[in-house]
Amino acid sequence: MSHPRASETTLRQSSSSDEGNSDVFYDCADFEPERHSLAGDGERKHWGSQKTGQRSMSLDKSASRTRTSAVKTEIKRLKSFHFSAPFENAIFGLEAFEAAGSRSIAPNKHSFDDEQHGREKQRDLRERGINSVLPEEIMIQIFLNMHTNSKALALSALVCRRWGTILRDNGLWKGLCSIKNFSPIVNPHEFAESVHSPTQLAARKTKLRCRCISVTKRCPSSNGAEALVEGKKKCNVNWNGVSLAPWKSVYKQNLLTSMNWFTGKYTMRPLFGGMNALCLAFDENWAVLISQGEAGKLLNVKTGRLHMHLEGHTGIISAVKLHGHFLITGGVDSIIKVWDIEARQCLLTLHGHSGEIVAVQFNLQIIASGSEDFTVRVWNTQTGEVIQELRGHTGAVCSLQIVDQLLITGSIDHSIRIWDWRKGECVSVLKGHIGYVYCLHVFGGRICSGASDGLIKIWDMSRGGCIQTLEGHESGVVCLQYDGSKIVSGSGDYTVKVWNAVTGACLYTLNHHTATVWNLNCVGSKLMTSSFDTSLVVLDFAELIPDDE
Amino acid sequence: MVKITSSDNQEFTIAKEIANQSVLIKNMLEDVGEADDQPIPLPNVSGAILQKVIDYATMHKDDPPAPPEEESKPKSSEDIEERDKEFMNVDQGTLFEIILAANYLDMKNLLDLGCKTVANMIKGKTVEEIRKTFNIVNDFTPEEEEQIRKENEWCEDR
Repeated sequence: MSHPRASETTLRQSSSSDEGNSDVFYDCADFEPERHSLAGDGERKHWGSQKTGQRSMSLDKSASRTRTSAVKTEIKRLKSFHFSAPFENAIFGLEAFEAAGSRSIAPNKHSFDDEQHGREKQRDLRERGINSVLPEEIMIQIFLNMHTNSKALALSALVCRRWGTILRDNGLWKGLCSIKNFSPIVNPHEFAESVHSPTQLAARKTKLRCRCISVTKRCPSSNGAEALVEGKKKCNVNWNGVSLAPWKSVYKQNLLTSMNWFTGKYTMRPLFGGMNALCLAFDENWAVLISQGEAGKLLNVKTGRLHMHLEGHTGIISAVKLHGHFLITGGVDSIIKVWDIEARQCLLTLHGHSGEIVAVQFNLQIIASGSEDFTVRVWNTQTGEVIQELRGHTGAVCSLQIVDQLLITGSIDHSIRIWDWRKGECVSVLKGHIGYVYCLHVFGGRICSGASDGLIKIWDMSRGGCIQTLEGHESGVVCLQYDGSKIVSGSGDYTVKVWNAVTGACLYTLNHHTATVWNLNCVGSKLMTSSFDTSLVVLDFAELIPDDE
Repeated sequence: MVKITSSDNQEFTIAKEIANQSVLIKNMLEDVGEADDQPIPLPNVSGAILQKVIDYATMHKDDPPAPPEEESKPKSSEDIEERDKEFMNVDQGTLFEIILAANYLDMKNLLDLGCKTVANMIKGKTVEEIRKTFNIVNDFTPEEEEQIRKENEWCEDR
């Protein structure tokens, strides 16, 4: 680095004090989950102290550069037509103000000649410009508003030292992560590796860790915090002595991971295979397997071990919903069972349907079920009583989702219906598919549906119309997940496709299965897929950040 | 009605529901009580800016109450109401003063609006254009500039 001698010492001083401060900052204020608001006192203090460090820097600078060449060029700029109209207004607007206001420091400008007038304007601007007027807290607020535009953030860091420093602030990046729902991606390989760790201890450790991840989506897990503190110790201190913000790394990793989803960059590992069973439903903790002539099985995904047999259904299980430590199963025997996974017991058995259960959904209030008897039933989760029986479909109900007071169902009769389950009324019917509506997923007021016609459609829930139709699968679309920006779909053509939900373009096709893809689940950076080829595969799109960053 | 005075001793008389949009004034009124007829001094806001702030509060007096923090969607600088855009069509000096006043008076919506407006002035510009817009002098050494460029390579073109 080629700093002039004098400023180098100042820099060193300020860097050491900054470092001291930031240590305190990371240890006490930052990583307590309860205190993740940006306006935390710790952060304010941090800024306060940094400000002093910065002032001394800017003094150096103003002595060396600002007053001479910079001002000259700026005056030139003033004279030529570089300033936009609002800027001219700024100058005169301010004059008007100051004449009326108490802070009347501006001298009578008419007595100056042109150049002096320009300089005066210039000083005025400098004095009342963004950097002298707006404190760091407000600059942070402004940058937080740029969360949809990472490029603008990158460019802003290059504007000047002050902006560059603010854009290295850990609190700012933490705020950005919180807005975007980014949380630390702890160890991308832990998930798959743990399958191969046979000891009880290792299994328990992993379980603990994973629970942390699943519980704390918004605020980071203590585990993530440890990783960040560790990362902080390792990270190099450079430039003006401000170390790289650990939350910036979290943001970076998440952003690059979300890009990997679009470009199709992943690592793949089969979880189970050759078990002669179909993996019906799964999440990062549990998987439900069925095979002909046997009771269903619940496996622990982390260990690959059998957790419990799901005994009680006559015939095989045909519909499953996993929800935390609850499991809902529906069978070809028309009954629905609610299980407590931790206690390894069946809590409720729901009788009432007169046909195979094809779809079940669950929240703490209601259970919704779709059946081959053409009806949808809504049950009270606590008591198991039927709240509503929704009639209208003229074929088996294969897919459903609960969205607050609405229930969205897809059927073999080619239609999608939106119901108000409290009132028991059908609100609207969406027609457009020419095949069984096997699957649907609702996100942000839009329904994404897949059908046996091989098409995926996106519907506007409030207006009821089809917005987009995605063509590409050569056979029925059996399962899909939609998050507003992308769609992942599995099909009877043995492939999984990832789509850009905004443009409707298929981004890439995954050919890792050798039979119909039955189900899929996007869990954080991972995509899990199961197929009639009896395998359950995990694809991890996590971007690996090297340790030295 | 509530009386407030600006830093330059201009007195404003405004309706209580308008005054209450400022959490600062609201709290002061609660502390002082109804009976007190003394104007509330606001030494950090000039008369001209206070007039703008009152205009804003008047414009938004019939807005439904904001949803609780958890339910509110992540804010994006793209969604600004047309009337607010018009309101914020002012010179930079005034804009910054309004932001500072909103911060001081604790008016979240107005502060958000101001920050969004500035964010929109930054977006879509090159570094040189941003500097020109805000009249900022580049005080980086070329080495520092290069280092930051490298540091942020990953978030360009996203």
